[in-house]
Amino acid sequence: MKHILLLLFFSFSIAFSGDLKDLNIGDAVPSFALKNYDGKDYNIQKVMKENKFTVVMFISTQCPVSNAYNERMEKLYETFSKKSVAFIGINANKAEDTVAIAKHAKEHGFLFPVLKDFRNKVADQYAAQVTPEAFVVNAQGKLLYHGRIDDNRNPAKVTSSDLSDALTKLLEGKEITSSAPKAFGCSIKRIE
Amino acid sequence: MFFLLAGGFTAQGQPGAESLPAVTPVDIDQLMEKVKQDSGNVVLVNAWASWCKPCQEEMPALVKLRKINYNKGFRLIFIAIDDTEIIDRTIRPILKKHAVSFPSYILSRTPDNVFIEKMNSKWSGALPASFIYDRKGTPVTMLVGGKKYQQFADVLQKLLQH
Repeated sequence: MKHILLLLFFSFSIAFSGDLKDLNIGDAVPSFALKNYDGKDYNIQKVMKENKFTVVMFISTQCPVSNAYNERMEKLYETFSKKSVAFIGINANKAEDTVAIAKHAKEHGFLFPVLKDFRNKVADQYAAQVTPEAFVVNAQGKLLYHGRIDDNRNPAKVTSSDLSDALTKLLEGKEITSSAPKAFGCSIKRIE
Repeated sequence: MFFLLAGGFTAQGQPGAESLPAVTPVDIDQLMEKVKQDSGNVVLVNAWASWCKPCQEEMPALVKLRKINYNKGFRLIFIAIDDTEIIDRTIRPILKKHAVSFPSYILSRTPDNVFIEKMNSKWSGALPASFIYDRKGTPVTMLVGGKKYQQFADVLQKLLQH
């Protein structure tokens, strides 16, 4: 009996450790509408339909790893936005408000919107766990890529530009068959 | 062999460095070997980083748990996810600040994604993350994100009873 109780306890522990339902490559992504830090509404369905591909990036104003990617995210935007790839940043951290997001976006010259995900509803729907974490969807809302931006927090040590390579492949009409490798990042600070 | 290497890896070249806690670079296999060597105890491997504020915020709770439960068979292993070049400059001073007086480790020669997958394939890579093993060395649970003393204690107390 004691062993059964222990087993039940650990089953609960593992589930409680935050297993959100992961999206798989090929899944239809959940629809959402959020406000940019400047108050403008963004509807993901509309953005997806207007572009060949949409990159959704969960980012943070405070996470040192996410911040290490500020320039790289902006560079990706510069490179791919002219090829009908939309970029949307999402901030789901409970402690980071719209004022902080606006200040951060302006300081770093982000030309893409950064939407505030109050109560981390979108992060939960996408099962996003870390910052930075990227999702790429096509115009039909199908998930094509999920994972890291590249393989190193230090830009000088990057050997695999996974997100950039994925977008290049997709724009060439090639298929991406598996998720990108995972990378270390800051946990998204959720409403408990 | 692992422990013979351990002493050699901890560079103590800087003045005053010898008073800081030892930090040994290990790859994933060496870390797993360390967990195996500690079997018979309940082991918690805590992955942290110098850039991760919540990681450092939960360190005192873990150190306190170790102090209270060491004689009951609890072993705590800190593994830093950082560049090995900053061991003396950053990692060891942080550990000292949090009163870590026992040997710790830093991930080396292991790609990030390989470490993440081997520790737990369900792990997103978010830090901090704690991986808890029972006395048989079997992984039983993973706690991701900053946790409080009681959250760790609740898991460990049940395991330490067995």
